[in-house]
Amino acid sequence: MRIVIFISLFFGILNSSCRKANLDGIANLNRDEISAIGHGGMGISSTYPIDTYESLTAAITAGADGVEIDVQMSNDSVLVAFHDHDLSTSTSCAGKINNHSWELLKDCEYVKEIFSVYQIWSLPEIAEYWKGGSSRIVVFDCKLIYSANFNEFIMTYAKKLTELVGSFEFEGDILIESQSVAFLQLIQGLKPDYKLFYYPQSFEEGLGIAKAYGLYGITIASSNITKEQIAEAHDNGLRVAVWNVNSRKDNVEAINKSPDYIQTDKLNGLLRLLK
Amino acid sequence: MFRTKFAWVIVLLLALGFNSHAKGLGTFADTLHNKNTVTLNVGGPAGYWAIGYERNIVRQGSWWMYGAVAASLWGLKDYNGDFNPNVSIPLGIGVLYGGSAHKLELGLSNTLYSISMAEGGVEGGRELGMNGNLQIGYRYCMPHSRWSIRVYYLGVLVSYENFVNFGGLSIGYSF
Repeated sequence: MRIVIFISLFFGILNSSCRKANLDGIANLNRDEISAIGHGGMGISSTYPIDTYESLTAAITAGADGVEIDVQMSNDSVLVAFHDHDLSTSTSCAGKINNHSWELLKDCEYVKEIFSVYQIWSLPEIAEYWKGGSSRIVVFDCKLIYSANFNEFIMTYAKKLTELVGSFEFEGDILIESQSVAFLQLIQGLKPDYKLFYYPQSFEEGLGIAKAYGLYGITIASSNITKEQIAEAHDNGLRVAVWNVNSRKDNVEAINKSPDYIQTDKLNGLLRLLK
Repeated sequence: MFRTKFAWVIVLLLALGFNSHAKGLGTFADTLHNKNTVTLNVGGPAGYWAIGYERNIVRQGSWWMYGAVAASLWGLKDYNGDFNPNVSIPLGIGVLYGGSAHKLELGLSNTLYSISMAEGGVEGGRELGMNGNLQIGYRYCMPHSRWSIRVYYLGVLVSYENFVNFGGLSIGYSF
């Protein structure tokens, strides 16, 4: 009995680890190439906390085609690179980003494993340090976590974001993604040429909205979209970015679906697969 | 309330069990437990991994007191790709209680660390910090062998400000 379990486990592991990425079969709207985007920089399993300058720069140094940055806004309208809904899950502070001023937030430190040295970064700081940087893709995942009036919040957020994008002296592409159609429309009104992605719950919803509003593409969890649906999005002129890619198996499965962008937590593994 | 009482009863029974085990195997313990132990640690007060050294300082019946030091390097290259490793050095003392094979341990330690970070610009800087640690664990010393393994819970006071629950696992070789 034990030998049967052992053999099943052995071949199970062998099968899952040996699945191959089919690079020759890639067909998309990104010149038949997949851009490797690091989630918050190096992803959640890195020694650097995601969305820190260190993690974002490490991803660029590692050879990523680009980075995804989670963007929230403080109560004094500073755009802040931060992933979680609440500060207490990963830092020495508590509450929403939008509950605090940047003056307070800049003193919050990430507690990563058992060390506490990395600070929270504002987007203007990162833009300043990356001035004249190499041509990479920057994806802004706009997390609209607000504490007061939504309409006022997104108006200010959109204004600050367009100012920021203007200040990014960066040769690469800038992509903006959001779960809010109202916010994307607002950005579209301010800057019609921006590359906007809708972040739907399901493929059908995403396809419908992205087509209706003339967006650049959709961002969706890799497990929520099939290869055929990605091809359908491409047929409709829409790019597809997939996320929630956390392992080698996820990387391989995502590659084999031919999206345009993969936002991965296993960046080095994805880069090795795409070589 | 019942759970708490039950937990205390378990702890008491374990302690009595260890005590009787210790008495039964006293001579065995004397011959097998050398003063020095080198350890390979995963997790623990050093963070990710470490090589450590322990020395038994005092022994009184089934009690031992030891001092320990460890060192760890990780992330050899920083975010700019330059050689700029992170370093952590825990230093602590602890007590072991039990027989020749099974021991409970309680320890206190301080971890000094220096970590590469972007401080005030694109050039890599470093941050020096300290943690306080409380360690509660179990150690198994293999009979007729110099090898031991241990597993422990670690309560860490990060920068002596924020409390974090952590843990560790290590193997040791005594000589």
